[in-house]
Amino acid sequence: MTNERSKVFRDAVHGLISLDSDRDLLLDLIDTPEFQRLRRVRQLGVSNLTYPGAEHTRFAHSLGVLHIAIRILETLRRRHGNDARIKSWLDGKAKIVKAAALLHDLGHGPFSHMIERAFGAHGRHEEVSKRMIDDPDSGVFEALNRHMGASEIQEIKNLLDFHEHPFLHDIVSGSLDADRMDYLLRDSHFTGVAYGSYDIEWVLNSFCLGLEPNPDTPSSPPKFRLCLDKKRGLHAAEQMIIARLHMTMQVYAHKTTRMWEAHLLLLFAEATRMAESKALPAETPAVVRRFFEQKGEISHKDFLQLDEPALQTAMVVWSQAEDGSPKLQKFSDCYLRRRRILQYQTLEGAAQEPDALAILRKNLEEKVGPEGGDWLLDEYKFTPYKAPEEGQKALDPEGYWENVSKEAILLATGELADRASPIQIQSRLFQSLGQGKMPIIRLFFTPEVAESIKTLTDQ
Amino acid sequence: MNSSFVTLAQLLICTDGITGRKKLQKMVHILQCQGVDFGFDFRLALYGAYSSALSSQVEELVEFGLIDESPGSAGGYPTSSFVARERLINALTTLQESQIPAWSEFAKRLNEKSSRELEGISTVLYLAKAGLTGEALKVQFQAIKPHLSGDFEAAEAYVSDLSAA
Repeated sequence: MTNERSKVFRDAVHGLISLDSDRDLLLDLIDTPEFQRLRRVRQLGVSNLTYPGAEHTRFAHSLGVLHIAIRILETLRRRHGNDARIKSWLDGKAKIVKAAALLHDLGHGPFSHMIERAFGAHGRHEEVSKRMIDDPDSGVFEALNRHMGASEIQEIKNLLDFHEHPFLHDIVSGSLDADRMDYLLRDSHFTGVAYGSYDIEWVLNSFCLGLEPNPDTPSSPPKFRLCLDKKRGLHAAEQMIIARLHMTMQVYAHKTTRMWEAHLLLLFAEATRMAESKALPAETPAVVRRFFEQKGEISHKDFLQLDEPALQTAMVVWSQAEDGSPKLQKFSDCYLRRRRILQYQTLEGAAQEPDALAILRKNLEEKVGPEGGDWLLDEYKFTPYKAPEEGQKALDPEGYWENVSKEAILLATGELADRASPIQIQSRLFQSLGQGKMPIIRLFFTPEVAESIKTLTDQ
Repeated sequence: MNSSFVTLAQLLICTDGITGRKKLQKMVHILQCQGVDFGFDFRLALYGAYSSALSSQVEELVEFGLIDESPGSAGGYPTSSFVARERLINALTTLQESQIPAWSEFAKRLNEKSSRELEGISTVLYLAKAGLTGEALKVQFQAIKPHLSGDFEAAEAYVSDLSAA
């Protein structure tokens, strides 16, 4: 980028990311401290310990999501711009969609999924993202106010949850949203796992609108959903869902990556315990100390400093501190040196069933100690495509349509009077993937409790 | 922590069963808004708040024979009836979680309402949590749920009573 306000970014995944209309708004948002902070938060946390190339940032990913959202809006304009309603919505709401796409990951902390699990605060990063949008202390709020009024700012904040025109929400959060489309390609590119690649150009070319699929939904006022063209989009969608399956099995659920995530989770749980009793090493960076003492509920100013370098600095301190705990010292040191501590067992068959897991968890808590101490049950329950069986339509129609509306990839003819339909009706691949649950359940534990664990799991 | 498994099991047992996925979703959402720890993340969907993880957990409990799904009806409309099976009751006993929860009477009262009423209440609660109040909440409710416009005032009044209680 030059010193002048550039409107084109080079990107390893998309080539060129151009900001044309709404350029000033978008550049003002990119220039905020909140957005620039995302350069210091990596997309895949600890995956770099398995795939050395996985160093890409949430900053680049957020630009990628913006780029895809822009492309989707362009396709819809080309396809449906001659309809006065659609044109007016696209003209009026495009900047809302772009801002929401750009800002969707603002609230991500470093190693956020692990931190959230350590604090028992699943989904917090989304709440933090939304909060920052209308927080007067944030640069984002200031930048948005330079370009729009309060009601539009509220609309950006809400778009990640809902919108009266559901297709706008679908672009940023849905079964085929810009977020998923970017991270699959980006994660594939930087890890080097080629199976994650898919024909994005053809998917983008296939977007269209269709009416909400449930036939009981009134068609006036019309509720349009983001769909793929029935004739063009089916095979590209199939390729994409296979890509997602392979990326899950090879990257997101990789046993070594999940082990390092468990390692960090146990480390952060130990840091939290020590922070509660004011026992963290004296040289712990102040912002990290506050972060653990307050379980992530920190001020906006602190949040801007809480990034991966801050946590890594803390780990360097902890790895050498004599005034911490042996566990804090050992886990920090081993993480920095990539020296493995944890062992694991994979639970299979009947051991995966929900009551068996609940009972195992209770037995482990009683006989080995609390979860997050010396052990952790990692339940990675992945379904490549969530689709209700067609038989459910007759048995529980409202449940069926609610599930389809929220989970399904939708196909449509592109005629605005036609209802969308779930892709699994036309695709055998989606039908079979929809029924395939792939739970990957691993019990991670320290060597000190290995014997007790094996007694309880009979392995 | 086993909170979602235990709490969901307690819900199905104390209500003697719930009719319809939609109703189950709304009841869990409303109870969670009132502080019951189910641990699910909800988003706004076709019929009010919806949790993908809850949907998956229900399917799993049916698949492994912990709850029974059988044909039922509500208001003359076909739907599924979900009832806890003995295996689930036994699991709670083993976990020493068979006590009747403090929120059981509230859950039973919710269970007496129609799924449509619960959809309205759930949507008002969701929009309120998103920071909307007063006229702004009403406008947004009617924009995203035009088919429930006539139910807004009753839903809003119910949520006000909940907050006051």
